Amino acid sequence: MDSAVYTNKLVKVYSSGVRALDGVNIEIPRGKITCLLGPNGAGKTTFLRIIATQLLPTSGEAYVMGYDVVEEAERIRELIAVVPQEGRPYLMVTPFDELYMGARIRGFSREEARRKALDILRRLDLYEFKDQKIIKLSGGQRQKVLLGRTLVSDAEILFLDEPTIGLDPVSRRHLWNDILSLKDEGKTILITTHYMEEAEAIADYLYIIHRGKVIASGRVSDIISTLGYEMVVYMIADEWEAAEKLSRFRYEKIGNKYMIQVDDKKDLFDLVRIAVENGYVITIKQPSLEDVFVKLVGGYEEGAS
Amino acid sequence: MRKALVRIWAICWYNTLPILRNPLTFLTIVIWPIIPMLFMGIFLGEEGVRQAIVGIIITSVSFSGIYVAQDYVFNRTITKLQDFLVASPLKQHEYIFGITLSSLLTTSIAILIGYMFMIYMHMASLMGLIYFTFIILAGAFMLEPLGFIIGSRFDDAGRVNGITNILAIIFSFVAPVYYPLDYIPESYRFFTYLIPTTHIAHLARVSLGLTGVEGLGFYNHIAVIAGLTIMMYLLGYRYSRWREA
Repeated sequence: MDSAVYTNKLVKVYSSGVRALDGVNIEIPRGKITCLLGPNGAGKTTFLRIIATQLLPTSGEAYVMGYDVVEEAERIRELIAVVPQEGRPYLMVTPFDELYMGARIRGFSREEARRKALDILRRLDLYEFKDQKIIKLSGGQRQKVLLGRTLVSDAEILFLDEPTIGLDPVSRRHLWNDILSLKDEGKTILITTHYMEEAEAIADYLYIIHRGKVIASGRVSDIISTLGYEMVVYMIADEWEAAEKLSRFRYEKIGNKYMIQVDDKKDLFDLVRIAVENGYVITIKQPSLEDVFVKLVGGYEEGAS
Repeated sequence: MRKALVRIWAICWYNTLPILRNPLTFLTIVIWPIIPMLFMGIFLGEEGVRQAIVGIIITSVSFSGIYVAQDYVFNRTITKLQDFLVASPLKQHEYIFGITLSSLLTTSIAILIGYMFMIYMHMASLMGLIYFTFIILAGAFMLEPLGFIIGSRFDDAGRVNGITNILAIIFSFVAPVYYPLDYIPESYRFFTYLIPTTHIAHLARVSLGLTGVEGLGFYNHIAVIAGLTIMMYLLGYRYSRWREA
């Protein structure tokens, strides 16, 4: 088994009766960034917690580096490190304390732990804050501390559960760069997110999960190409006649915003004309992951055709 | 084995650091044992101080057990430290040892202050002190799993804080911890026998010669402590959560 993580018909039913995973088959390649994308409650964290040996599956198979998550959890725990969803560092300690203790908990000697902590602090641009209490750091810096705590472990596989949740766009991009640099070192990274741009920016492979099932998988570009159309036109029109004027196009509507799928240039020109004549706001772009996600996950009012 | 000890010590130190780095919390821990001694000394004289010293030590031991619940639930539900730790080579028993040691380390300041006063006031012979220490350690050993049981049963840190505070009052002030067992009328003693700290405090006082051996009788108190210890560990094992089902 050459993949870092392999699951077959993985099912998790909680004692409350909620079926969080419903026969999930996922294969995560080594040395790549794989992203689990899905809305809240899709089952992403449940999946991650099972393969991180924090939670037992109800049925199915799951292997990490060839080890069974149920029977060989201790072997797996030597190879992995996790940033838990909405994890928080202790506020009254320093970044150095967090990373040093993180390394000591993995069993490293004092000297090794100190060296590793300082190396990672430098790498994450936290060195100048190493002796400040974490309570004084920004949200992005705190999140970096949590990432650093996993990095000092030297683990081959990193599981990051929504690591950028709640961060501002700039901090989020900084963290993406840090995560991308880990791939260059040969680390295998599984990241869960519900941010489309995050998945597009950093994922080599993507699994879209919805209601406990994988509904799409592959490279980001391959998934986008499954949409089967060339352009997406967004049109904002608040008059009720707009739906009638756009009736011959394939569209989805949310509020007063129409998302229209366009396959040929004539349709595109027609849409621009309608927008100009009626004073609608129009935006034209290539299909994105968000368009795929909206199409697959739904939740939008269906269009005319 | 060496790596296991490193991990236990790391967890202990990691859990203790936030308190050590917070001067006001640390100051509170140092000051609070002096307060009961002060008041009991003012109103009851030297005998009051002796009784207060025993009370402080027993209270500290029971606090160290009960308040483990707060650390446990905080690490599990607020910081998610437990998720981080489960997915690491750290074992569940190493984590429990580490947190317990940390709790004892924090409360040991109050216990040390109590011992210093005991020695200063010539409250016990060397043998009495050894016997007293043995009883205290048995009490700590008995009460440590309690925190894990409470911390495992609830996901709401606020509720856990409430429960532990109520238990702390029952264990320290409803039980005869700051005064001898024979101060309680016979007809009410049954209720105090239901509280674990009653037995520890009584035997501790016996070891220091502050009271007679009456109560349930020496061996019965020992048997109750042993029985409660076994029960606490069985419940702790049954309910503590590491990998979730």
